Amino acid sequence: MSSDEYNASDEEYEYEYTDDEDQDVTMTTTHNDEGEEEEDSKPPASDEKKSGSNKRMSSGSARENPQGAPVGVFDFGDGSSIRMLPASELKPIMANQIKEVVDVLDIPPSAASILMREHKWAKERLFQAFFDNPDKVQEKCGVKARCSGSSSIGGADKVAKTSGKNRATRSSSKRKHCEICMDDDGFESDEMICMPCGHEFCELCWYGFISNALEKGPLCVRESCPQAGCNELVTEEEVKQAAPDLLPKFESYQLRSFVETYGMTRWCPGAGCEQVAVARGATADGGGIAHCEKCTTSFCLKCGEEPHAPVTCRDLTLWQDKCRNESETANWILANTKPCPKCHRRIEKNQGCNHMTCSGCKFEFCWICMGDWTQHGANTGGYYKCNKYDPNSADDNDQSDAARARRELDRYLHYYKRYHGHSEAQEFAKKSLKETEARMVALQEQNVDSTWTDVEFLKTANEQLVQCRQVLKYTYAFAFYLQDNEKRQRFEFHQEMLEKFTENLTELSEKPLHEMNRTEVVNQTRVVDKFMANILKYVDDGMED
Amino acid sequence: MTDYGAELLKRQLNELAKNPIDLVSVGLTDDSNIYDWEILIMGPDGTLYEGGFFKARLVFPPDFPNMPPTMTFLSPMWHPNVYEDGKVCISILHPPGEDAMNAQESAEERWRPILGVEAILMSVISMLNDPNDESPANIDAAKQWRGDREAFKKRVRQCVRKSQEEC
Repeated sequence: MSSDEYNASDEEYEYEYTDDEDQDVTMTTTHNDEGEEEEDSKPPASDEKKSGSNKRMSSGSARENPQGAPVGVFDFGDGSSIRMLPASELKPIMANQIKEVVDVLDIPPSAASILMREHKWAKERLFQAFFDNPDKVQEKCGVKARCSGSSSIGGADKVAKTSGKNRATRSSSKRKHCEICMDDDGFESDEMICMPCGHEFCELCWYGFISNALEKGPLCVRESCPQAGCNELVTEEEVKQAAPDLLPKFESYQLRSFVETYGMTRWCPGAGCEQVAVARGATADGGGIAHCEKCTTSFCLKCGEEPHAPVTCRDLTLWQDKCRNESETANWILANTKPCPKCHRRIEKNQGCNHMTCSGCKFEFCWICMGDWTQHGANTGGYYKCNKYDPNSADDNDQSDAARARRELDRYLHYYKRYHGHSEAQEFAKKSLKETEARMVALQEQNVDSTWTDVEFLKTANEQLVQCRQVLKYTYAFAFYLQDNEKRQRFEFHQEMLEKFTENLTELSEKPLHEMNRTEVVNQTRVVDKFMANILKYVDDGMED
Repeated sequence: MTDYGAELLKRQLNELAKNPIDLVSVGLTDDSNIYDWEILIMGPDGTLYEGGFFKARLVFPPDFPNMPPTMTFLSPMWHPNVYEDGKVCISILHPPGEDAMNAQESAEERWRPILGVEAILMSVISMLNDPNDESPANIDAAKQWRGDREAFKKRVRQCVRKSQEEC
């Protein structure tokens, strides 16, 4: 990494993650959780337990909300806003959240887990709704029977007694009947598994039911009783009894659902990565960029996309939807190759720079506007002018719907083309980043007395390019939605500068090694970084001068 | 699990042979395959389908009873809840779980392993009695059912006659 301002924040995060005090807070919380989990198997709300949780509250964190529930879990105590944790470390956090609900509402943990999930893990919201109308909340979330009995067996007895006729045989010594397989021989009591709602089925049918539910994936946590018309939910209690071998899978879906519905967490979008970004403070909506050390993915905490400054999450979604909808048209127009403007030979761009030289006729042109490269000189006042959309170039006088639609499409294509161009260039830059090391080795061998540090500038430059392309890409999505003409002009000035110097740096860093000029590359890297910081700051500051 | 589903289906087939449901007779399409049933449904009296002998196929998945079978009319059928290819679309035949795309149908109305062939056949007969035009499978039929009942009747009568001829 090369940049100063942009990376300052990175270092800050890293520094803060390893902060000792921070570690302490986490360790204490985790430890307490484990200690108390063992007690969980006992019926809740004993006096001893209450004092236990009080102790933790006061020792865990100085911050407490009015209801006395600790908010310490995500208080990193050091001002850092996002951290990455392996998913397994969220288990105690989830357990802790569930436990608080168990303590307050005096319900089984399996029901507490469902109630929290259905209220997006917003404890206060759940408590409010629950105290308002407990029956309604329990009914709606499918935990009514579970909450009215102290254990699943107790709950079953209760229902069996009250629901009369069908269940009359239950209490007798007669063998039980499973209504799924309708086995003529019936079953012994210990071969049957009963839901809190009183519906019981044989072990074999239960196993099939649960393994089938798990095959459906994440939705399995919302599976309800096999009985038709019964909305009582199946929980880890039933899985534990009926299919203990499938319990880990079920629990991993529960954890996954926790990460997805809890407002302060987001899975790392890296392929196969099991890390979770955890936000400090109110919610993940606060935004911020998370960096996963495991798979080196960076992403926006709010929307999960790659960092997309300066464009907002909302506009990014709009833009991506638009691009998806119009991709047919756009792809048709933007084929992967373009004809040389002079000799019409098809040219494929396989390097990042926009300065093209036709291998056939040696004509030099700009890949973006297909104009003569000499026209891009500063002397014409039109250096890299191709980043600007000029509505005057379109036929403005025609007010027909068709003409207006065409103008709007032109406007979109203008931005899309450049967005797409930088997106491709970003991919090229990423790819060449992988090859950089080989180039560095070669460069070092070329100059006998140079050290590894002497060639590291190549990597720095390449990383800078990846970042610049990323920012440039999103500047076009941003500009597309920028209504204010004056602001857009100023924004486009910044954009033009960044684009110009990014192209320069691309060209310099792609030079053959024997022509490589270290000082030049190092300087350009610094300059480009400055321009990148400038455009982001300009937007951050509300685009006022 | 396959044997388990087959066992269950055998039991249900025997049960239906012993205590048949009114208006319905069941059998296997091919005696060696318990997962493929042939059904004959007689149009209930007092409905537009009265007098018809409608053939249908009920095909069970390997993970029955945790997943529902599919039912397809082989005889021509004109009904808001039957696709033009004969496939029956009623909530009891939809896989369990919520469907974000279908708000009209709650999870409770869908397939549950506790349900059997009998419950399905009862639902189909009730569907013939009382079409549900809220979420139609055959949009043209639903439109006609709502807007032009006479034309709808005529079309159904054609189906009834055809089904009688084929029998």
